[in-house]
Amino acid sequence: MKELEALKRALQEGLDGHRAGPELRRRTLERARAEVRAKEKRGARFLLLVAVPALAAFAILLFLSMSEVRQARPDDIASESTSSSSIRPSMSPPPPSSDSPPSPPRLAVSKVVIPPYMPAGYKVSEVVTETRDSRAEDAVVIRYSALDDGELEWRRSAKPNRERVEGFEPVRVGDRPAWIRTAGNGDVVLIWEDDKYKYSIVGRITEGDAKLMAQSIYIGLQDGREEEKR
Amino acid sequence: MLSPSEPSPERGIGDSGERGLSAWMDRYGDAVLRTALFRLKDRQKAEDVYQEVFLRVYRSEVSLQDIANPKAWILKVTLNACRDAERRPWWRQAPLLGRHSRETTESVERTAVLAETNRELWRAVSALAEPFRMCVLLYYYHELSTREIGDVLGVSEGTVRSRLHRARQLLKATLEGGGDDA
Repeated sequence: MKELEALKRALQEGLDGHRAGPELRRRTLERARAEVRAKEKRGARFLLLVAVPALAAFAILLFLSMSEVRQARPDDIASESTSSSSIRPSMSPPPPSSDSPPSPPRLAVSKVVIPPYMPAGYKVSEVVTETRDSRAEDAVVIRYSALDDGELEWRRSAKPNRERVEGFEPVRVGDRPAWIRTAGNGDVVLIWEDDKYKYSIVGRITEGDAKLMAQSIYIGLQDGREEEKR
Repeated sequence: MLSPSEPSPERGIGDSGERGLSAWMDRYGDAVLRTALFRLKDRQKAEDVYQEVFLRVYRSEVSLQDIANPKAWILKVTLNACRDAERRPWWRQAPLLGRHSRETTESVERTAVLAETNRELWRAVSALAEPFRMCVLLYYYHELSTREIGDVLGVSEGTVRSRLHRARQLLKATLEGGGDDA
């Protein structure tokens, strides 16, 4: 016990003379403050170099995507309905005004039919309108994609003039003349026209699928016109 | 167990943090410095450890009230910082000119004004192997329990008891003139 007390005293006498003086405390506090300042600087640099450009890029992307959405007007485009009755009278172009010069018909895409027949494996990936010059809507395009990277496009566009169809094989879509060919890259192209529009189907499908698709569109359009008459 | 075992390094510092740091230094500044000094036997290195320990406390914003046993906790942080300091390569340990206070350039043994009998005891303790020395310091100087020492050193209570017993034997043998391999 006596030795243990002596041990305690020896430790106390050996160590108690050492104190953390005010200078050491001050230096420690200064280092802590310096760390805070450095951390704030790092934060400001991060904001300047990373956060602000990232936010700006995000805002630009958001703006661009909103513009695309406005252009496509998805709320105006009919949902992916397979009913042929989804053709609405508004498919018809607006009546031309009597004093304006004759111009190619403008497409009203307030309602667009999604072709009821869809080749196996394909699904609709996007519906867009394409605009050139000052015309409101020159074409309506429905794009399809398949899991095996196949791509397919159905396009309805204004018909400014008749196209040459050399190299195509004549077929019929309903009572309309149509032309079909398989391109060198394997894409099938089927085009036909009615009084107002030109239609085309282009994609990696069989000619039979292209004809069935065209037929389903034709029937849908006919139904729509009959409804319009009634 | 001590809780938390180590402060997390990436937390905010504010005015309250600075006040908290002052409270920590008021209460445990001397204990931290002395422990580092005892372990490292170098005043400059001990001061570096002192700063490092309180910077860790500052970053973690741990207040005295947050910790169940603040003394044991800060001693554990101190010993960890000592270990880190010892691992640091020598060129990073070299002090910069004027970086350390003038009051603090002498070694423990030179500044300790000890009575002759205590001087012998002090030397005997200083000559003990590291695990025994730290147990002796924490038990006889900081007056921690064997359980707390176990938490600080990361060993079992039984190991602490055994080390203390062995340390006493070694000290006795040394003081009686029959010192062995301690």
